[in-house]
Amino acid sequence: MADPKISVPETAEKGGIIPIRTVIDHPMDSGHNYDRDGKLIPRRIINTFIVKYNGEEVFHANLRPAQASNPYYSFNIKATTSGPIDFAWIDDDGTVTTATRNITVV
Amino acid sequence: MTHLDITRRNFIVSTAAAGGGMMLGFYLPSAAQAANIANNPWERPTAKDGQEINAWLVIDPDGTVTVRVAQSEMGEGIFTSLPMIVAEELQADWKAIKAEYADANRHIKNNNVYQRMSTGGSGAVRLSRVYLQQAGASARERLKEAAAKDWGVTRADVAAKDSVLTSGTKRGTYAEFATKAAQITLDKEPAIKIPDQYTFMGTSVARLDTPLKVNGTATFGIDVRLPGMVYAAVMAHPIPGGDAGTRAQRTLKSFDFNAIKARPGVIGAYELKPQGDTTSGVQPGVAVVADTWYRAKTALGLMPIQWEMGPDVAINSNGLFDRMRKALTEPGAAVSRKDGDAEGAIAKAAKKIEGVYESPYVAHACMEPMNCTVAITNDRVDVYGGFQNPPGALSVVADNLGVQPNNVYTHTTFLGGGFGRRSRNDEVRQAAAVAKLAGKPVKMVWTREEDFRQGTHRPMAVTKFQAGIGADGMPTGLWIRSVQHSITAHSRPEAVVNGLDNGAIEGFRTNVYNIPNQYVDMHIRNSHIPVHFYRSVAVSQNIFQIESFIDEMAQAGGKDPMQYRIDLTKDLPDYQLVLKTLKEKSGWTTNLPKGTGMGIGLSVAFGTVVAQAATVSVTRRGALTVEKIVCALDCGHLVNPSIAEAQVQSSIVMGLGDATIHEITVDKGQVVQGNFDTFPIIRMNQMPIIETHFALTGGDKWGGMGEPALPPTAAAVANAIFYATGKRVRSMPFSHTDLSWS
Amino acid sequence: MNAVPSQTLMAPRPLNRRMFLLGAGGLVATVTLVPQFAKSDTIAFPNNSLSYIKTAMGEGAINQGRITLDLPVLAETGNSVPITFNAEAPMPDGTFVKRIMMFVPGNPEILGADYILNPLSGSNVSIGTRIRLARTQNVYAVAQYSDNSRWGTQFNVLVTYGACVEDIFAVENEEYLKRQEMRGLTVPDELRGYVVQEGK
Repeated sequence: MADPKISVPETAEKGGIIPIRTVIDHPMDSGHNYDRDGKLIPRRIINTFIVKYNGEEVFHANLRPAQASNPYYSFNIKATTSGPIDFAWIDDDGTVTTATRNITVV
Repeated sequence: MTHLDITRRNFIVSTAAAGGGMMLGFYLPSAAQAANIANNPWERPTAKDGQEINAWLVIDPDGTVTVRVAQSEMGEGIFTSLPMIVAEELQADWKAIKAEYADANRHIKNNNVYQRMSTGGSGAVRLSRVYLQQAGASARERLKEAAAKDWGVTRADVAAKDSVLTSGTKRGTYAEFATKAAQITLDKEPAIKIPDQYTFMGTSVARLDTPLKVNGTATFGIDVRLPGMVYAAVMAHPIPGGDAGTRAQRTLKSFDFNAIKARPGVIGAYELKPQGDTTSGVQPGVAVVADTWYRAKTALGLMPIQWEMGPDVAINSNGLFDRMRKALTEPGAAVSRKDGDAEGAIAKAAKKIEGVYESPYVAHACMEPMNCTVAITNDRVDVYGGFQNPPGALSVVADNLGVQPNNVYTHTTFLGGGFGRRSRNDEVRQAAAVAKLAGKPVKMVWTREEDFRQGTHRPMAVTKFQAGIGADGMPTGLWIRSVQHSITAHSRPEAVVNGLDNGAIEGFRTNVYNIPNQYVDMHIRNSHIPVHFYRSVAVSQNIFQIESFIDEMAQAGGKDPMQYRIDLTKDLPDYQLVLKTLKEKSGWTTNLPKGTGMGIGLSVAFGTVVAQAATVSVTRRGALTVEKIVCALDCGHLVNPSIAEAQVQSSIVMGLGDATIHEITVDKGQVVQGNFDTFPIIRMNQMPIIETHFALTGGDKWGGMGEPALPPTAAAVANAIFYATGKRVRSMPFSHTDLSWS
Repeated sequence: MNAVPSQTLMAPRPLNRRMFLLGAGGLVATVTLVPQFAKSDTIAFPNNSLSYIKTAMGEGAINQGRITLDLPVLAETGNSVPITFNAEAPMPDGTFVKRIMMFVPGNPEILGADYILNPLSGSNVSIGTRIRLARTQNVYAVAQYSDNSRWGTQFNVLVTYGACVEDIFAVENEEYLKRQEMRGLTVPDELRGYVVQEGK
């Protein structure tokens, strides 16, 4: 998986919305596609995407073969206090990619 | 009789929906409008303000009826045949009928109001007939109802004919009652006519688009002109297609714009970044934009470009064919058909024969090269071109530019050849990307070389046949293993189950012969070459193969090939009718002097059964002349016989080209052919006499006409060559086989 | 030819073109054309999705409303279709969305997505992503709120790849199956052709 691209604003109002966008490179082989010899390409996808805010899990996505390649997610989190927002992507093969951004809540 | 419940069709014919406009305007006389279709076929062919009765038709104050046509005109005559269907029910004066393209933007906004806006699958008439009849019938009844209300009579007392409504002494025109009719909703939609009741469908009226094509005013994609428009010539990576594995290594390394910057008219050069699907998405490449296309193309040709070729540079046609031939004996073939025990029957048979047949990639080679014009503004995007799937084109532009589909407007032009090629929308994605980079309206046109190089081709295939022949000369078993480049494995992998792509082996799997023991299996062997639906799809390569082998089987059993086919389809009345018609009309014989011969090919596609008899002569040195092709077919019913006949002729020309000269080869991963010097097509002097006989069984059958006459041609010619020379042709194109005889 | 599941409430969808290919005795009875989306309090989900929903969200009817899907009416290729899940939240009583599941019955695997939310993510729900659609189908989404109520929606997406599979392959396949039957030859299910089973 290549370095994820993450978009999180630097600050947010307390009680307001933190809009987050993420995308990560990954072919997301669904296991339903064929190679040139008509053989099924085995499944290999990112199966989990977890977002934590101040250490607490806020968004837990179980990803499926129906997820398009280079999984993109945009979602909103309510701002409570300043702190880290942690991201983790877990591949079928066990690899975990992580990243962190900090939000200042005013 | 189709069993569609009438009442369920309310929504497609009820009052003019939002977005349709319900204005009643005033007709201001202008220069006589002889043309029934506007030069720009997406525009209104007449005075702007008319009354929309339903999404399909508008009635002007002067009585002109404009029918909206949801399919694209690529020579197959839908701009005439589809309005004919509406007119049959509407009972409007045909002289007052004009046509325009339906609007794809409205289609997606109004919940697919035009049902089906893609053109392909020989489906324009066969798939839309019912609801087009319904649209016309509904409008007619609402006009009658409007008049009935006005005149204080019941609708049953009102007659409608030639755009006139009458009841007793009362008389009114469609135009007069149009507005009122638009307001009416019927409790129950009328029944549509059955073929026995047709008075207009089935007649060979003149085409509506002929005048524009004769006087040159018809706008094709390549003719589009917009204010402020600039031109783009493009070159995508010379190795086309690829797949997830190889694509990443097949890149644009660099290009040197400075080398051409000062050339006259040059505006810019832009990198095309890969986007979307491997083969219909934007390929890595470069676009040069200039103030004229010639300047753009010349500059592009002179600009140094560096490509990273990637691993597919090792691929060539010989290797691809070898790989397919090898697969014939490899395990793991996917079984498609298993009647009885073909292997056993063949093993026990009095006589066994076998043969391997091969067909190459073939280009669509549309006379009008791929092109598309895109204009982006803040509120909307306008896209112009010859689209076989306008909503698809709309969708890819929206997707590529990240804009709302509702703000994308496609304008379909006339198409200089479609054949399936123009349903891919790869050129549309590319043009949208260029327009965004250039920041101006751009018309992007491919050179002929680019068109061949980036063409998405008819798949190649190698097939092995085995048959057992009984003591009575009739077949006891047929065994087929086909190795195919599968379109479906790429485009619709979910329709491939355990390596089985039934679409790729149509004609083998679905062969109609009553042979007790049959077995069909297949291997998929794809390559990086992008493939797409070609005219008649899989049967374009498969029928030559199986029909030639059926002839080999007939020879082995000492049977006449015509009678053989009649005997093996005894329980199928439409095949019997078509074959017997052909036998009679062609003067079928196997008794011509050496050097001349007749051969037969039989196939079915999109519901239409076709048989052809070709008469050929071959000189001792092997020069082939196809003298005559007689075609008998059953498509059930005809809307416009003369247009249908033209489709037979054009299909045969293309089939003849496939048979004798068409070929796309691959070397160093690239398509070798670049223009019509290296990809010859049938010329006027090679044209045989073509006779078409419609042997129609009618009833429920509504078969297509755009494609079905293509597949049998190659087999008919190959089988005729056998009778003329004693030589069996086993690969397309026949130019590779030495036909000399003594 | 696979029938549309009979309990499917289709979004207003014009004539199924397969109907033309089948003539008498075809799928007429099972294709429901509803001019107006029928006013109903609950929404039926595809059979194969029910066990997933039960496991994640417990039993009970799925109400119609609160959650909407942004999807294109038409997607070319279906490889990357943008989708946004919007849900009314928080509700006046403070309940938030705690789980969203999405189903794609036309794909080989019916469960398309499964999101677990909390009060911070389930309060302003507008989740955007991109999905793969194998073919034309209804996409379903169900959201469970913190009071355990379930709310669902569906949206029909037309997926074309140049042409519709039915336009190209269906006619001859149907004829072949009829012919085999007429000749007394059985064709096992797995060889019947362009039958794409509802995803599991």
